[in-house]
This record gives sequence, structure tokens and C-alpha cells, in this order.
Amino acid sequence: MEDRKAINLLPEHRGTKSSTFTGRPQGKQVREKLKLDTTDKDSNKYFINIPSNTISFNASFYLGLFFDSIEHLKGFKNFKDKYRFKILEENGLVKEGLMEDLKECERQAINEYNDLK
Amino acid sequence: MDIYHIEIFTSPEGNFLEKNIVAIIGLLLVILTYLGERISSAKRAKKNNKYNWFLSIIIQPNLERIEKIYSSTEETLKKSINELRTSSSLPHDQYLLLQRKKMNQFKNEKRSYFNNFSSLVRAYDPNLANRIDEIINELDDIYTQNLDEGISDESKSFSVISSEIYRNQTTLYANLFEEINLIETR
Repeated sequence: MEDRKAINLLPEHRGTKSSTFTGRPQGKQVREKLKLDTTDKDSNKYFINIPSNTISFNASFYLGLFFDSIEHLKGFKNFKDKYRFKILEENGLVKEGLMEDLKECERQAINEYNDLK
Repeated sequence: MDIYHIEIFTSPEGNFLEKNIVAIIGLLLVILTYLGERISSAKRAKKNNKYNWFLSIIIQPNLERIEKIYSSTEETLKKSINELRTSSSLPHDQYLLLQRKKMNQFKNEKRSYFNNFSSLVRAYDPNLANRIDEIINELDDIYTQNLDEGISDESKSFSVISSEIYRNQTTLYANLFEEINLIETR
């Protein structure tokens, strides 16, 4: 099995009493807290754990959190190879919704990255 | 070995160029004016095509639908917040599930419409499409955050929520109409 380290998104990264990850500036702030600029440069691979009780993971937050990594790693394919997502929420419908959110995030990240080139 | 011999003939009265210089310059000016006209009318035609394409393919067929989506977004959000307020006694996991169901009502409509709209705009101008995606992400955040705060002490009044939604709609229109101005002034 592939050896991956864990990067944990925490409930406090959602904001006070919130169950959603929203906002590009908020995503950027969490990026700094998690020191993703450093992990982008190492040779490890990671799981990004999305905590349970999360009901929405919005594209604005995702782009603030990961767009610089996609640029550092020179493309979405390399980014996806290094960082994989784990949704810790167990409720089927919520999990499905979060997976749809991630698909939407990826669509926008790919478009934005391709337009930079 | 072949030897090529080139002779330049000059007439006793002076060479051809010297004699016809005024006529040649005149002819060159006519050709340049004609080419200039052709280039500028091609540019005008290209600009008109772009303008017409933007208006008839992107703006006109979508304006009504965008209008409807924004007004239904406002209505659905208010209705959902009210429903969540009356369901606050539900166990936490069931309450979260209900919140997500309410979010899906908006997110599904947003994806099915705005992803196509954004692709259409992307074919015209990727930068404009990225700006539109950003505006729709803000709308998604407005919806999500207000549903999230629906029953908390920090929940906003409906008039504040409405103004957030309509400010977002205005930003979307401003970006689309700015493009029309840009085409006209380019």
C-alpha cells in the first residue's frame, strides 16, 4: 500500500461554529497555517483529511488553499498525485455531496491553471 | 562556364524611373490607401462579428435564465433557513443532513446551469470565464454561509441576505456589460 502522510484540516479551519469550508482568503490563511509551501517542495505524498461534520467544501476555499500548490507542482496531474483527499464524514448523502464539491473544485482549478499557461 | 551579360538600357532623355516618378508615387499611394481601407474594414467586420456573437450567443439567450436563478436562489434560501429554524430540535447528524439537502437544491442548479454558461464564455474569453466562476463561487459562499448560520446567533436578517445576493448579481452583469464596452472601444 502507498505510504502517505496525513494533513488534517481541522474544525477550527472552518471558522467559529461553522460546518462549511468557504472563502478564498480563508483558504489562503489555512494554507499558511498548514505550511503547504513547504510540503509542496518535499518528496512525500499526502492525504488531506476533511473532518467529519463538514457539510460543504466550496471551490473558493479550495482554490485559496491549493492553487499555489498546483502552480508549484506545475500542473493538476502532479498535484493530484501528491495530495489525495479523504472525507471523514460517514453520512452517505453528505459524503456524496462533498465528493461533488471536490469535482467542482477540480474543474475550476484545471481551468484556472490552464489559462495561466 | 556560362557567362551572363546584363545590360541596363537608358534612354537619352533619362531612365524610366526618373521620368515617371510622380506617376509611380501616385500609384503607390492609391495601392496603400486601398490596402489600408481593406485592413480597416476587415477589422471593423471582425469587431462586429465578435460583438454580435457575444450579444446573440452569450447575453441574450441567458439573461432571462440568470434573472430567474437569482430570484429563485433568494426565495429558496429564505425558505430553507425557515425550515432549518423549525428543525433545530433534530439530532445533530440529522440536522447536518438536512442542511446539506438544502444546499444541494442550490448547488445542483448552480452546477447544471453556470458550468455550461461558463464553458460558453470560456470559448469566447477564458479570463472573463474565470471572473464569472469567481462571482458564482461568491454566490455559493453566500448561500452556504447563510444556511450554515441559519439558526445561530450570528444569522443575518433576510433583507441583508437579499442585498448580498443582488449585489452579486449586479457584479455578474457589470462584468458582462464591461465586455460589451471593451469590444466597442477596442
